[in-house]
Amino acid sequence: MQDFMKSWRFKVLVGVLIVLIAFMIRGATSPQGLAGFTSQLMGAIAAPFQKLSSAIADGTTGFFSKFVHASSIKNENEELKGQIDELNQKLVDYEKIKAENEQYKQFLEIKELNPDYKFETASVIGRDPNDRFGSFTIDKGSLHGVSFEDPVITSSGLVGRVYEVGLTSSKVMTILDVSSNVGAYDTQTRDTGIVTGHASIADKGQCRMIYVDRESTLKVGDLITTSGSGGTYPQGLVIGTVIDVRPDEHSVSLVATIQPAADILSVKDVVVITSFLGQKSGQPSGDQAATPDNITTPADGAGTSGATTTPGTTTTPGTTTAPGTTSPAA
Amino acid sequence: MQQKKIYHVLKWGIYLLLVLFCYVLQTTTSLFVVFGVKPLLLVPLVVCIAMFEGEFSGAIFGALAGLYCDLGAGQLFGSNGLVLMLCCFAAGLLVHVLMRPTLTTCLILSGGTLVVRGFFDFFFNLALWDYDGISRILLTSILPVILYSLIVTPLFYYFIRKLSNRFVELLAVE
Repeated sequence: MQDFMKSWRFKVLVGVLIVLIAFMIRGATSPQGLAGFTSQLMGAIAAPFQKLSSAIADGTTGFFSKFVHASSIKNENEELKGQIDELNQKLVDYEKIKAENEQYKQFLEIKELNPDYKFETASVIGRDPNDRFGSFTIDKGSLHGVSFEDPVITSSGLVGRVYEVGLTSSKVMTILDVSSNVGAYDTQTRDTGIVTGHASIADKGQCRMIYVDRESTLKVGDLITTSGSGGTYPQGLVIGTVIDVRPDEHSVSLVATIQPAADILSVKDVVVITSFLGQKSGQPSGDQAATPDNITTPADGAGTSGATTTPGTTTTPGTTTAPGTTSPAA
Repeated sequence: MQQKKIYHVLKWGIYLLLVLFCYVLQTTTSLFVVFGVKPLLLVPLVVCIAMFEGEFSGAIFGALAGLYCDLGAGQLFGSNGLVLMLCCFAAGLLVHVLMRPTLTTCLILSGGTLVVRGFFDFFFNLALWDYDGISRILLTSILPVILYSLIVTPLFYYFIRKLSNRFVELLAVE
């Protein structure tokens, strides 16, 4: 052992150990959002392969489902198998194009309602087994205009925000994450609160709205949207619907369980809002830092109505006009 | 002599590519998902490398695989690197001085590494922050991932053993 400790190998290992500790210290102290050179390099090397692998995996899944479908048809009608195969393939293509078209149409509606939004479409290329809150990697990075804390949506609603940006890929923290906090309000009752993740329901793809005033009339079925406070998220992005409301055991407020409008745990294509009016830039806080004590007025955010969003007080929210968004009330 | 160098470069190159390949497979969406659980492929891979190539190589590949784990999971960059480096170093050392490189040993060392990594992940990322309901995450996420990763460990054991023995033969001939 003493020989080993005097050898060059031991010195190399100590060197690697020091480098790892330095990475950790740098990661813990430096501003979030900009991945270090090493992680950017590793990410850049892996990203193309991840993209390819995802495409192959998706293609394989599609192939097998098509195969099963074709074999059942074969049993029913042997001679029409080839034709059915061909028609099925066309149908798959048609459905895919139709879905894409629908998605683009909805994004166009959002764009028309919010001309200040700038979008960047992205595909999910990685999900790690270590993550239990649905975080994922997308194939767009700083080279495509994506930056730290950019909101990430689908045509259905809010998914999360970018928390780490590489050159060609970025990491997205979902609203299911316990460290994610989104200023939100109920479009029916106008009650405000914070939407955050909870460990006990994250695996079901659900999150919670906390700090809702005990006197509020929030009820099951209500639509929850972003309040826009803090400038991290624009106002009016649909978060989801209330599926349960109960008093918080630890405080005097209510807590609601939210079923996000977007299918966060299996989403494959997303849109990053790279710019919107009133967006806070480069600050690792925003809605993330919002607490019942420091929730700002919507006037701090984008396209807001100017009413106070402090829990227990009334806002003047917009009405829902398109999937994934609401327009401010006139 | 020149041939020997080529074999060495080839061997480490293959191991490097394996780490990258396993990372890509590990993070590929909808691949190997069983009941919402995906295996950690990198951990058994580097434990096997440590078993057959020694503690030094194991530690280096452990650090690299750990960094990739950090990259994929968005955890504090270097934390998994540190844990896997130390675990792989220990695994290599144990095989060198105490244990034989059998499948049972491999399962014990991989299981131990997965548990240590899972414990650090659970403690530093969840328990320390006092989040509610984290026991559910332990039961529905961390433990199933450990179990699933252990199930795929024999594949890595036989593959790395075969690869390592092949290069031992090639280098011995030279």
